[in-house]
Amino acid sequence: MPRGARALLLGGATLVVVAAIAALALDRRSLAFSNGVAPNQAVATLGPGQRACQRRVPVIEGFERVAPTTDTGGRPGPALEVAILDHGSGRVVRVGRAAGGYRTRINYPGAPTTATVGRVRHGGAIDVCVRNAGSQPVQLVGTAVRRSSQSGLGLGGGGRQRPAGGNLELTFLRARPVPLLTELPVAFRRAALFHPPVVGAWTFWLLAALIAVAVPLLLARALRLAWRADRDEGRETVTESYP
Amino acid sequence: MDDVPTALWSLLGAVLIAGLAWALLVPPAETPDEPVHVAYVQILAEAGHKASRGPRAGHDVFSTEQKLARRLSNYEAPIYRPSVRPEWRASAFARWRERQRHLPAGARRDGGATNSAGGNPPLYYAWEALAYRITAWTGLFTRWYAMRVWSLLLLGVAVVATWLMVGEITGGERMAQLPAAALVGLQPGGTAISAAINPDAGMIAAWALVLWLGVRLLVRGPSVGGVLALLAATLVALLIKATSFGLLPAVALALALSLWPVLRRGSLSVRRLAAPAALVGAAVVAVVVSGAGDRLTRALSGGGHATPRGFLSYLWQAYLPNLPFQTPVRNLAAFWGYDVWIKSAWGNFGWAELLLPAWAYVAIAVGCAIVVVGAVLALARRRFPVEAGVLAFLGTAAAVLVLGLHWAEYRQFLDLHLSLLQGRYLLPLLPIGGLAVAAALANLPRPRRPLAISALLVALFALQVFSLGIVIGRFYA
Repeated sequence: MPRGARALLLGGATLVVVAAIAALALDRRSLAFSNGVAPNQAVATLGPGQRACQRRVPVIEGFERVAPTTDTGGRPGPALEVAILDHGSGRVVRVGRAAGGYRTRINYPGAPTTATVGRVRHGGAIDVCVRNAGSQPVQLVGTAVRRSSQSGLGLGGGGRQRPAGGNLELTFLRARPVPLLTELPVAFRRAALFHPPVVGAWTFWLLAALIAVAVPLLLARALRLAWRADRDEGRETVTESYP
Repeated sequence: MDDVPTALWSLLGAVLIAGLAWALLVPPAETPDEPVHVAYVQILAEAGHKASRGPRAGHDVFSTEQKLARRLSNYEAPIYRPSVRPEWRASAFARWRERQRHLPAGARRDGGATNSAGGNPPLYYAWEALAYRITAWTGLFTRWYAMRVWSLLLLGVAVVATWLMVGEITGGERMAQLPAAALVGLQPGGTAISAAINPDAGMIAAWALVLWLGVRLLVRGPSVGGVLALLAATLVALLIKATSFGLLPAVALALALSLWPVLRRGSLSVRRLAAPAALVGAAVVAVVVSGAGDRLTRALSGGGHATPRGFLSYLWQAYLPNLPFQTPVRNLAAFWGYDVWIKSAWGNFGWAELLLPAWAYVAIAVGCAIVVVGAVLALARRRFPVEAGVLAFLGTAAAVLVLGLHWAEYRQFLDLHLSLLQGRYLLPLLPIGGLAVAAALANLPRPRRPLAISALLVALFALQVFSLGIVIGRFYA
């Protein structure tokens, strides 16, 4: 095979791999985790001064900020107070506030309403309570449930909460974004869940290595062998059409 | 072994690695309609009958086992919801394993009703049921991934068939076969859908087989074996998805063109016609029994006020700016052709919510345009000689599929004002795309072709790598 073609293929593939690593390093993300509730519909309307609590949220990763999914109908939304409670004891461990004025709508991506609550370590379960600290109502968005027993969202203050008939989507964020590249070990551990028992994070490291190294080498080999086969049949000297 | 050259083995190795990454990296259910296809395979493997579109007493869409998996892995919530992630907790995985272990045997057999895929013919699902049965002693997710990997093997079939098809046309020129087959094996849309549980994976393979065998018949001339093979491959395609009815005009054309000289000579005996005729008869019976015909009828009928003029107007608007006198088709995308042929067919992952950067689609579109123009030039200049019959066969297959899909979508616009067509429905035409690449390369002097093929392979490799990176970012970070 002409050297230029081999160099182009292997050099190009190396550049692609380097560019992919650079892209992973530049792709910085704040997401710590979400509670896995889909933002399908409004599950509760929070009037001024009213409070709703999403109960028993497992803390998968440490976080500093909380973004409850809301719908203000495109109008400026009210300020929200967000409290983090230890699920077992009900003790308030962190409190934060999201400034008013944000505009959100279901199914229209936009800047979320975010409250900085301070560092919460991973492990255990929390309740996340949202209080409308403004003068306009706001809708909380999540997924409706058929039975009240399936609802983790309660409306009202103190211990007299009533089920809201759904669950609120909550997104937990880090204080500062981190590169996706440094998240890869965690990402591959997550990817290995709900897989056959033999699959682990190592499987994805192996696949990444195979893609980065073996695939370009196999393609280069295929090209070399194809070129050689044609040469052996005397095709490489022919510049016109096929016989 | 001369028929299976080492260059092809190397390409298949690369395709398999990339496909395995897709199969294992994408979370369960995060490919189009995968949950209902899994439900179809499960009822076929467990109870021996197709899933049904209608209700069945004691049956739900999903089995108790699949519903448990859905709930504990949270696989449904992220569908169409980019902010939502699948379950990330190892404890949830452990809980699912524990609960799955104690499910009764009947928990696998109470699904398969009111299944939106229930109208599909059963052959692809029967193929997948083999992997399901082999791993029947494992948990649902092991079976799920086994089925994905099993489905991926069909992409290998498409790669080999494309290699052979181009070989028939070029007299076995490896430097034409390689880029054509590489396009089929490494086009990211094709890899993603082939590494999922979806009959479109079977369609890509079956159409590649039909296209190869049709070309073979036209190039080599008729033989009983060749005719039987083409008919058998067509039957396989029909039993995978009703869209394969689009192949029938092309197959009929290939048969007519190849058999015409024999018929003119009068040398065709009744005895030699017996086997193909029997296969055609069996095909008709199989298609009727499988329900593929019903599916096609449903797809092409209805839309009471559909008219040829309305259809032509819709076609125009799908690809070109509206003319002042045309009634706009409601909800038809402004750049429909670009959206479907480029964005959706090349890089539209998950449940179509995962996209490449906009500039990447522009680059792909430019590349496709260069290939199309280059292929036309090569054919016109006889740099890449293809018999007229072969061109007619391939052109008919492509045109009927595209027009058939457009007709179905036109009707859907009339009835529901919704788009129907997705790029993956066009992926059975990938082998023709591969042939176009080989033809376009023929414009270059032979010493330059290795460089051009290298550039193509690097581009396909880059698309694979960055598409997989997008998947990681979407679901796991």
